[in-house]
Amino acid sequence: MSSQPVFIVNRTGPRVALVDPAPNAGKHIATAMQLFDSMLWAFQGLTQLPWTKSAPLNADVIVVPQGFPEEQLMSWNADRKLVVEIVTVPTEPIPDLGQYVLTYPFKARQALELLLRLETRLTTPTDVAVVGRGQPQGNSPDHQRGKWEFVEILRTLNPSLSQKDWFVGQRNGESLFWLSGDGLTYLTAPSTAQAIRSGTIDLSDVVLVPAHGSKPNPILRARASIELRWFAGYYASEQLAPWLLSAMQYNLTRWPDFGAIRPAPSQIRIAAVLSIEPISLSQLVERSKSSLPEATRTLNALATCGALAVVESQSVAKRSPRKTSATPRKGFTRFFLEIRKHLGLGV
Amino acid sequence: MAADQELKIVFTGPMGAGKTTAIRAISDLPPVSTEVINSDKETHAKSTTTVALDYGQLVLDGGTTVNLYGTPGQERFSFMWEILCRGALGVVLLIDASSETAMADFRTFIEYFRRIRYDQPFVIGVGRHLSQDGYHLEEYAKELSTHEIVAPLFEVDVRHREDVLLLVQTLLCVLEAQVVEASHAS
Repeated sequence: MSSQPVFIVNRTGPRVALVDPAPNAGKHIATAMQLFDSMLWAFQGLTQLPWTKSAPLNADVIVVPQGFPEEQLMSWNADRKLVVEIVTVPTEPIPDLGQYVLTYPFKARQALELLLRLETRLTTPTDVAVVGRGQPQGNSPDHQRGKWEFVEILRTLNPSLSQKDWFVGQRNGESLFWLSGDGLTYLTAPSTAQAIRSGTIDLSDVVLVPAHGSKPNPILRARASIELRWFAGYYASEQLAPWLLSAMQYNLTRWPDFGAIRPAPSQIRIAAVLSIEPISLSQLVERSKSSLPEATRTLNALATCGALAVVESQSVAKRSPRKTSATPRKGFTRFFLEIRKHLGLGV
Repeated sequence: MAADQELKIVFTGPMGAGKTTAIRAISDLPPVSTEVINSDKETHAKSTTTVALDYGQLVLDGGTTVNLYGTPGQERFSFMWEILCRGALGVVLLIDASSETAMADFRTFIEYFRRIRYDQPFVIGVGRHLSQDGYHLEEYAKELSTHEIVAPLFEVDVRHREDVLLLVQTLLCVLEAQVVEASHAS
């Protein structure tokens, strides 16, 4: 599975400021800040966007040591900056500050996941025009974001992480599945897999809990987790995912394993259209002859599988016309109808 | 528009990948195979192998015929690959992931077929091999990415007709998207 679900071509990456701890803050907090600083450097190429360091004034994200004055944090928050507090003693984030907390000692994976979460937050439009327009009251942007929590956790899993570290997917304390640390394989009971595939199980509030060395039950069948990703993204919402925009053009950077997913014919058609050229949602609906909800859900599923890239329209080179294969005597439209009917393929 | 252009779908891949099986799964007629006793048991243990081609056929309602060709698997017959692929609606590449040479085979075939025609609809089926050890299709995906190829890459079992149909359906969808794009461009 790709670690880059969606990237924005030519976008300048986030700017981050690291605030030095006070001289009397203690050795641990200084070490924690240095550790985060070196991880920021080490993660170059692993994050979806290039991070650069800057002064707090110009930063999108400010990393502060524990105990930093609350008034200053509130001032930055008012300027729409995101704040990460690195702590050595577990603490609760300050309410309503949208603050992130990283507790030392932290693992590289935790720091990477935090950066990826911050990237998602920074690239999520605050006005979410697609979601807001004409939606029922229960479909506010915040409500929408809640639907995507599990998907966003999946997006932070990285194939470079260890396959042998297992996570347990839990919902309301009930274990639903086991997911390998590299995010490529999951194990579950056939009935749960069926519920995931049919959308009868709500995955939005599933949490991943580290298995701490425990191993999955060997009677559970291993499945490609692309299936879990696809259906989590597909059923999350009929609106575009918070990190997708209807005005942008997308194209397919890789095909998800449809052998594991078994998508509907309309979904194969949508993927095929996206594989030919960059295209916006409205163009996708027209060219794939799909409904808007189906195109939207499929776009969400493809993005969750890390199969899409955003392409700025001015960067799209005009393709040369495709070379011709043989052309059916009665034209392609009739040919496609006839061959699909003959083979019993859905249209 | 020519009246007598041959419509064909080509199945390719190394020896033992399942080309004959795939054609048999969807052909209207029992496939014609030019198989002989396999003298290359070191490469593959199967008893017979295709030396020229496999041939199957779909005869559609309106009388249109679509020919299905399976290429010989051995690289020494690669001159046949190009002949068969010329003018094809698309190519289905099959790989037997359990073979020791699977990745090398994969590399050989994708390089060869992309050279023949880079924009020809091209779908890849890798023989199912998901096990408790994990999911290995990722290695093939990385290889495709290295070659900057965006092509459908699915785990399949060509002994199952629905898996062969998934490959053909995808091929048709890609071809259809190309035709629609060409009509918008013109």
